[in-house]
Amino acid sequence: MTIEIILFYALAFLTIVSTITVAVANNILYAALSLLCTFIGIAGLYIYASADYLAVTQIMVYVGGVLVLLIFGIMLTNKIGIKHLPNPSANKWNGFLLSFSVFIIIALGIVKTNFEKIPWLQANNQTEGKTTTQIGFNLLTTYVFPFELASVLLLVALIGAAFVASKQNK
Amino acid sequence: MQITLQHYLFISLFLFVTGIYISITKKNAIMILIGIELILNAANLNLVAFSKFDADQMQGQTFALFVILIAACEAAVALAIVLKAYDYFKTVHLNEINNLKY
Repeated sequence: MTIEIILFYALAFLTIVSTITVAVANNILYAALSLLCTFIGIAGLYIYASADYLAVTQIMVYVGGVLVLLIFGIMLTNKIGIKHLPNPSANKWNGFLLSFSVFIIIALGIVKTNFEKIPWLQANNQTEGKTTTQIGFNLLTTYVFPFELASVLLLVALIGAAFVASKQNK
Repeated sequence: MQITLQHYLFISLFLFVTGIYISITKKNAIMILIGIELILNAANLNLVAFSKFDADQMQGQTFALFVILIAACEAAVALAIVLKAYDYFKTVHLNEINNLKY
């Protein structure tokens, strides 16, 4: 049991525990803050899967962008001055039953799959070291059309969000 | 003892299931957005875990980048819609928003 393995399990534990906290927190701000821990834990797991560039992107986009947006949304949709921001749920048991059965089904699928029979998983050709160069080549050669389309999509989302949230349109 | 593919698959499965649970049970619209973000993160974790075995092309990591982008767009537009609905209905609890048009 080396230090890397222990760190991996610590990151997995952080991710799972903070995900449970998101699901059961009574205060919606606490849920958003434990989502922060989930995102950081996932970024650490990305590093273990040798995806360093994606780990940095995860922290920049999710922690720096999406989470701040979500906290803005929480602040703007609650009356100022309330100390306790309630986070009610409905259909707890039905939701738990459904998600638990989905968990059982997919877990059975993972356990029963014989990964040794899949040739490209056994090729012993694992990603190591720097991945940024390869991702850059990918984005500007094979995936250049989705890349340009993504820029248009970002522009449309920006304009659309600003237009929908503005006060003028009746 | 080493880190195998199954470790990643189980962690991402747990994230996915919790995302489903949050999206189903929570009344607050923003919590449902949080659930959807968790589901997208679970998909990303799967893509990255499989991409570890694809050293030449790294298609999984490239695709995960696009998923992150879509998630960011979705969060921005959905929050704009939630804010607009809050202006109109004075609540973000989805069980109280129950009429299509006055």
